[in-house]
Amino acid sequence: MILWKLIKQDFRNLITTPVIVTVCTIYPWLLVGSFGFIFSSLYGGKGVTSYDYYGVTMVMYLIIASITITPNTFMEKKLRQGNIRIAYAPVSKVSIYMSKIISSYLFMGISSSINMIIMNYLNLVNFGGSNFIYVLGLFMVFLLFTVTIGGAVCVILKTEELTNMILSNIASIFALLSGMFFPVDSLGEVVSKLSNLSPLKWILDLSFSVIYDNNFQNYNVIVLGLILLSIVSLIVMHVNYKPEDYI
Amino acid sequence: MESIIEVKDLKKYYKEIKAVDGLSFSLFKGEILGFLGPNGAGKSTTISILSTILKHDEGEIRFFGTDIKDNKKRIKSQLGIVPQELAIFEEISAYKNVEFFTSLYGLSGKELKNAVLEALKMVGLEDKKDSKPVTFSGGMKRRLNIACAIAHKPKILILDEPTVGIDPQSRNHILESIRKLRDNGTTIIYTTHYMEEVEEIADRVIIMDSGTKIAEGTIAELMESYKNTRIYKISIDTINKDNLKYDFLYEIEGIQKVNLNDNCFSITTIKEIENLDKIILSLIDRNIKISHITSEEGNLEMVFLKLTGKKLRD
Repeated sequence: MILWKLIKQDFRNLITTPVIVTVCTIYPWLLVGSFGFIFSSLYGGKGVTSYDYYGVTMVMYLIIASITITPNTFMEKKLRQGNIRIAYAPVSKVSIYMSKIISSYLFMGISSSINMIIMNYLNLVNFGGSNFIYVLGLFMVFLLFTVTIGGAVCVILKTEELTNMILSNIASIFALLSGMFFPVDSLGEVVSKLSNLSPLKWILDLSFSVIYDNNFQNYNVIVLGLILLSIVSLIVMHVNYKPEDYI
Repeated sequence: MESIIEVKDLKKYYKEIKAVDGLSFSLFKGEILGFLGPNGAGKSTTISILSTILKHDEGEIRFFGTDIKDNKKRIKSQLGIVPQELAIFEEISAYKNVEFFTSLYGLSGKELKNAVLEALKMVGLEDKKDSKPVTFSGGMKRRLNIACAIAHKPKILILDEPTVGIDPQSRNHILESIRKLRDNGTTIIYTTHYMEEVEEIADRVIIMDSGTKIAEGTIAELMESYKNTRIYKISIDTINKDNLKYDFLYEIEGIQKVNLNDNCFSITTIKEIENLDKIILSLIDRNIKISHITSEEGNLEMVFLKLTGKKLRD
């Protein structure tokens, strides 16, 4: 019951933060629209349009960008003080950090799902037709990983600025290496090999395999891997989260 | 009197720094205990430990006879904390703020609604219940900060500098609310570095400096020890105080203590002995130019200065 109250409040805090709402509602359409338009000439053939490609990659980019959402619920300046009072109340520390994780997950999950459903319904982006639910499932598991790893890094570093800086930079590097924005194979063999090391590329490749080839090879392995990494992140949070660090 | 908190030899270290060093005291039912001390005295650390958020390194704390480590959840449910920083959410209404935080203490339904309205009334914000704190003045936010801490009717209320930076009207309202809570049976710990507030509302005072308790008692008791004391504050023109020796002042009859801070001498002297003329002459003899002289006697500020050698807001 207490956990549910905390989740509701954390969710309310997220939807009253204009920057986050903008990132989740306008930003995906802006990214897909602009990248789709700019690179439309490169995807002239039948089957895959630039909007199909950037629809998938940009939704995934926003999911990896949501790595900073959980730290925001813990440490954003205007929320931090209210969080202190929660720590003074007879509430377990598990409820406090789990409410941040669950509310971040719900918020980003709902907004990403709505964007994907609308893009799919409008035939703007191909999310796999009958395989849509599997693509959505893969993205939601990936989102679970990003919100939990964001929380784990935040409770270790304990400062919003440093956490956001480190996570944003790592996310951007992985996103660039994965070829989300433009193909990196043309940048040479070294970059291409590095690209293959990016876990984002594995997820991206798997998404396109499911969408266009109905190929589910590695699906279970990647989903399980992400769930395991999420559990590890939760354990790191449990060990490192101390309410007094936020006084 | 019934003791509801017992603190014995409390110690808290931050690496090499002793934030609290052997603090012992009791909190008695129905009293307002004032905690006085300058920044860094250990007040906020003590408050954080009492609120069960911060773990202490050594010593013993008992709430209603139970060790603080044994049942934190039960202890927390009997505490109301007003932290120094505003612990509210600015984007939801005053009512929603109090309702949310109070619901964490297990209140619900009509009981919750009544408790929220009562708390808002107590701090004079019942008319502003639907407004968001982002539209409030600093004083109104501080009052809301208090309402969030008292709605669940805690047995012990701990306030950490609740009147910092607010207008006199809000300050008076807060002090009046605290007195009302005490009269209704709440036991209160009130930390501040505003001496006049402690004089106004505290039944008993603990003076802390550098993590230790340096004095304890009722205001009357603390003043009694220093009733025969007067402090002259003598401002002088800028000098190189590193080279200034002022041992000569101790040769004047009645002088007990001399401090020099920011080109101002604080000279503690026995009240009955008239020695101001001698002090002035001895300074003039040493070519020290006097720009201003004031005299203080019989207040807590003086007690504090005498005990610590520094001003409360240093």
